Amino acid sequence: MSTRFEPKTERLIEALAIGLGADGSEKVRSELALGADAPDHDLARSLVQIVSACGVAEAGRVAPEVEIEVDGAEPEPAPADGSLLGRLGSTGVDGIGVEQLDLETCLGVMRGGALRQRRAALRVLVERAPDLGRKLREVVEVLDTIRDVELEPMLVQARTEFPGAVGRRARTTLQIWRSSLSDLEDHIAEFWDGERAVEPIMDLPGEQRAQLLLRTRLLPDGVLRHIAAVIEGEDGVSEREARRALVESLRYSGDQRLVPSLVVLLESGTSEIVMEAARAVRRIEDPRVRPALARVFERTVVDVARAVLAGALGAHGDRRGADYVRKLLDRDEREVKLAALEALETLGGPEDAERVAEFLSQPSLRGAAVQTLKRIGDGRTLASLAESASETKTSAMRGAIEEARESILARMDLRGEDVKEAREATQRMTLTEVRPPKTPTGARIRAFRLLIWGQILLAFGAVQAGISRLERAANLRPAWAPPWVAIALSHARKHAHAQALAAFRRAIESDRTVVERNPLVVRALAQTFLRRAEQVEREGRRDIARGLLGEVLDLDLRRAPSSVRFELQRRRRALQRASAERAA
Amino acid sequence: MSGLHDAARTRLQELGGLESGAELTRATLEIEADGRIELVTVTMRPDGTLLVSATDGRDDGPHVRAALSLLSGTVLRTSDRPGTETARESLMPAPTSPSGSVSPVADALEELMLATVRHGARKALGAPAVKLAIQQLETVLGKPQPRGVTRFIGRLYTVLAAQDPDGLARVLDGATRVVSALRRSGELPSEEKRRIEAWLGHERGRTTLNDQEFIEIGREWVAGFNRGALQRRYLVCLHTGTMYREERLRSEQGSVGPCPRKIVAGLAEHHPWSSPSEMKLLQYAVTPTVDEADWERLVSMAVADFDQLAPAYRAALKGDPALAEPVALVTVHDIDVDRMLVYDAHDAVLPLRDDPTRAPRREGDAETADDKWADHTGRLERIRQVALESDGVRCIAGRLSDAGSVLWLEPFAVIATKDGETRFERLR
Repeated sequence: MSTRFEPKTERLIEALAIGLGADGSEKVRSELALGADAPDHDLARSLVQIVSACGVAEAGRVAPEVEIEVDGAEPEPAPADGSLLGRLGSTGVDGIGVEQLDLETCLGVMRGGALRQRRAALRVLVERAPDLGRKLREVVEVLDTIRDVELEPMLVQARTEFPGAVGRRARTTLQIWRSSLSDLEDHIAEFWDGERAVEPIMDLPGEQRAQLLLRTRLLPDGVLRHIAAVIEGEDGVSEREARRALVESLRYSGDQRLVPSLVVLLESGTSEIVMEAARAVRRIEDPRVRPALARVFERTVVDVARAVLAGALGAHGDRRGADYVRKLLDRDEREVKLAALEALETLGGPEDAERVAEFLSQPSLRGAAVQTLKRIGDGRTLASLAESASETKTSAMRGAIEEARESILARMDLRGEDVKEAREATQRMTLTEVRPPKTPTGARIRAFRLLIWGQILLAFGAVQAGISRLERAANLRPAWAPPWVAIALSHARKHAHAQALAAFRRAIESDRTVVERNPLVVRALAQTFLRRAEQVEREGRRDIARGLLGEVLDLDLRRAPSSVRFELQRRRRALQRASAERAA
Repeated sequence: MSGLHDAARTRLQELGGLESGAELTRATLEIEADGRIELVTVTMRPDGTLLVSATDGRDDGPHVRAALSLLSGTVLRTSDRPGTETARESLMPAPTSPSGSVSPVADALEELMLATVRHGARKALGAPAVKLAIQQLETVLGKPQPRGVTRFIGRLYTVLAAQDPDGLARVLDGATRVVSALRRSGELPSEEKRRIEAWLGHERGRTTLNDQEFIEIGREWVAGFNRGALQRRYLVCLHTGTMYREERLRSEQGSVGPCPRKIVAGLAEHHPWSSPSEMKLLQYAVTPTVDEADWERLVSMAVADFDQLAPAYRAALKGDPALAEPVALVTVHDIDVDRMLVYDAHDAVLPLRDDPTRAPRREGDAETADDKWADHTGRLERIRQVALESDGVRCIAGRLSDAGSVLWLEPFAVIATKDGETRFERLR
């Protein structure tokens, strides 16, 4: 571009910026040497052609100014909570790094911290493990008791590093998982080669799929790319509902490699898919997540989806949706309130605790309120939780309340508050054991003998004879669960899910606590219910499947594997949705 | 066809004849007959039988006969060429406008251009006259909307949202060129035909690509009449290094597979217009895993000299300033993660940016002080993380753009190495 022409171009650019209608077109006409009677079309065409030609001719001819400073990500706001927990992990001058904490505090953070803090604490504990000496045992025990599904992907890896039974068990589980992964990789290759018509991940049994997707971080890039293609709908076979189920299963994956695909879903999916994608990215630490969530939040008008997005933003330190979400608690619709409570898990503070505690009295919102109170961690709500625990008849709810109580106490401890008094004051919320009726000593001895015989016979393959003895033992001592547990486990091993289910029910009727407190039994019970539900669902009896899932989820499944619990909940939600859609 | 035959014979003579050992086992031919273009594939099976198929589903039609005639060495006379008259049918739509115009699309585009220029880049977004003109264009186009015009509208929305008069001029300049082409009477030059095809989506003018290997390095949803109306995948040919785009409307089905992926295309169609030029995969196999050797081939084809970028960029924009959106895969010799600048081996610098609506201006511009650039999508921060976590960034793929006459790269993928292995990071 010549220097003689440049001033003219600048004026033409300005004319194009303000428009020909704003300032009359006479000056532009004279600049372009067009007569006053030239049609507007010709004027507009000449204007854009000249400006465009000049711009294109100059494009890329100026060297960039290398002194340009680039703003990085927006600075993190100052923590609202000035205590240790508020400062932990924040980047400001008052921030405290998790690596600076002593062992006891680290374990406290594992119990009561926010997700990001718990992840950081876990990383620190694993790093310190080789130097812990005798204290390692304590750490291993604490980590073994953590059944937080949000931490499961990291815990799986962490446990393999530990010595002893916990480490051995974790390594064996991982080995089995890796061998099933190898099969899956073959199936994926066959799928893309066109040798397999069905998408292989959605074809897996529910529990196996949940196990796979909770450990997404351990998956090789090829499998991750396959998952990304399926959730984006680029595999050519998966229906919308299957894609949604897969995104739902990725909720706790926390894998950065999925961010581009999840952002695509956030920006172009239906509001149900957007919500699931928001829940998945909420747990992923990646710089692309917060801007994407903010863009979608600003243009979303559906309250439920907007609340879920606000909660996800809250998890990334962006509190723009906090006031909006608080207002939603006054709405009448249950779905809106549930979404608002979910959002307050990350956006709520002590000022919201009492308002949230009011929802403990509403059975349909109690579960969500307990989760939110657990995350807010305010000691004033312990009394309300204790009251709620004494009112509820469902052991799953009592278990959830117990977990919330422990988490709140851990947070109080980290804030330096008096935990002892609060612990004693709320002791009554712990499960009270109902004393079984007394059985005469003779009958008890005979029942015990029959139990032993029954188990020996089962071990030697004499199933009928073994079960017959176990049933006699159960009849002799009605409030005694072990014979029914042995029968149930025997059926479960043979994949006779319907029979196992009946035996588990009898065991629960006899002594619920024996079943719920034994990790091996509760695991088998949860798996049996899940597999039976899948079975009847495949047969088209969806309402029966929904009933089975509802029944098992009323039990205290805290000792069941996270993947099974997660899949039970996911499947129940899917069936509830399908039922609501049918009704509509 | 006889012309092609003669031309092939001449070229063969120029090359010095046929070398021994070559054997023809499969041929795919594009045949025009009866006014239709079909692809005919002729394959020699190992047992010696001949398998013939055509894209019209017939194995005895005029296209198959013409293909067999060519392969068997029977040359057709020019006078035998069927359907000469219908093959020359005009690309211009029939006059349907009440005003008697030859092209209602041209009229609608021109009205939109005029309405936008009257309101100016700062106020045209949301102006009733502009909205009405866009609605009129939609009505005239019908469904499905052609991808070229769809993308033109998407780019128009983007430049109006950014209140960018330079960008607006380019987008509208592209529209005026297609309006002129649509209104031109008589036989159109081939360039103008291709322009109309690119804008209005006619399936003519495509050439075929056979037995090529590609790696997809990026994928994005871009705006059209609606947000995220079009999906684009960027594919690099492993034989030539050419960048292609595969494009589909939300309502259309594209090729299947994740990103990145390796594609072995038995047959693809290519429309040589705009930048990157469009490609449609017809027969292909997908591998979700790209092996190290292919990554190496890809990296070797990246642009190593940044001085080549600006001339190529300008040439692309001169061809079609509205639809050209050049994409490049560049070799990174060094990266400054604080200022997001990449350098080639000769210390030529290419800045990275993320949000096309925000960019620093040239020194001396009045708004320099206010024009802060922030990482609005977090992608640059992710590049920074990848650079710090890996052993080195090898390549960055992105869309080229310019602001203040400075050439920028808006990245969508990074290729780095870690522990001796190639690591591909999709950014969007």
